Amino acid sequence: MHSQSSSVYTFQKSTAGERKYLVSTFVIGVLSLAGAIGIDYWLNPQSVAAMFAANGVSTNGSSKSATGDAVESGFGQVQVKVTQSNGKITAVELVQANATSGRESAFPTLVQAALDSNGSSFGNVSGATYTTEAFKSSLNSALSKLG
Amino acid sequence: MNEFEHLEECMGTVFVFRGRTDLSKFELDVAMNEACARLHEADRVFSLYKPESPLSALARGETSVAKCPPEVSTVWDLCEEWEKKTGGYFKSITPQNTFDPSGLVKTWAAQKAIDVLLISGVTDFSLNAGGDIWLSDDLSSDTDWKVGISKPVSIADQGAGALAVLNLKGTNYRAVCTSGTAERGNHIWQGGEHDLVQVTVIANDLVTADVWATAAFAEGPRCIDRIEKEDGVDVLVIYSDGRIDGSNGFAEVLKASA
Repeated sequence: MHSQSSSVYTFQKSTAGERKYLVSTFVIGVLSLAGAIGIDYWLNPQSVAAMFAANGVSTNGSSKSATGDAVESGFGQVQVKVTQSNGKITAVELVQANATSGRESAFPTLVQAALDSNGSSFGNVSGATYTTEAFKSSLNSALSKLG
Repeated sequence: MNEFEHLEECMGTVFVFRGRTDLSKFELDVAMNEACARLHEADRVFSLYKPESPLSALARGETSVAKCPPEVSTVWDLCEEWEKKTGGYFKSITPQNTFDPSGLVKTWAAQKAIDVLLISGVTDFSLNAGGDIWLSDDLSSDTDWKVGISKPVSIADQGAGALAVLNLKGTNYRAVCTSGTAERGNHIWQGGEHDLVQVTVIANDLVTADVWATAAFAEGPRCIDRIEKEDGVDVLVIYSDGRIDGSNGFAEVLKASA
């Protein structure tokens, strides 16, 4: 008798534990989603707006999908396609995402600026190892000044 | 103060020494001869294009490192060291299991030539070692402190020219080395598929910049994160579609050069 009640007690405790896990998993899920959208909005409010401002809506049975405008995020082009089924978002796809590190978008500008302000004023040019033949046939055989 | 420019053909490429010196023409010639002798010595020992070189014999399995001139084991150790430092991306053992230190010998020998000139009292000059650039601490010409980075095309190409210009005056960088496909195609054994066409590395030391440029090109775009962790080494990469990326330190140098 004693051992039976004890086993019931154990069973109940275990259910409560599972429920706790379910709740925390759900909370973590919701927080991650909110966080992701939040970070996205913080980085570029336009991309979030574009996610919801559908321009091409297609319907397939009860499922509807919409593709947002491609937006320049400052981290590259980003375009998102959202699929909705029975009023619920079932899929979010990146149609276009050239986004890499934020650093990358700065380099072309910096490279151009460094070229513009020096022009052909430099002593040497660094490049992949040239052959003697390439050196001799280069238009400026001093090679030093390729400008 | 006399200006000089000396071109030396060696290792299938051309080395250009250019600068200013108070030495007499004769004294400079003696120093330059001695410096260039270091390049040719290295070529005699390490060339895999010369069947009679100790390294060619080693590759054919006719001799051992111990029987080769002592600099072979020096370079062997150096290569092993660099392979570890670059996470295995700098390699001197070919897929055929032979020793090929070409990724390092040119600048290793160039550094020896530089040292000969410095000891001889020539201290105001730059060296273009077949596209790898080195600048002396005492460089007096503002133009020579500026180093162009070639577009990722051959120097013999119609569209040859500079993609960017770095002004290294006031920095600790003295070497600019570039690896890429523009001149000799895909000559670096690559670990994986990637779409870089050119990598430029800047560092204080010539061999360091050269080895990292080879390793970075072999590794691909992820080299940026690896090099970011190296003190005093920075990188600029060019993708086949023209995109450009690099380390934060390289961005700083570009900013300061503009």
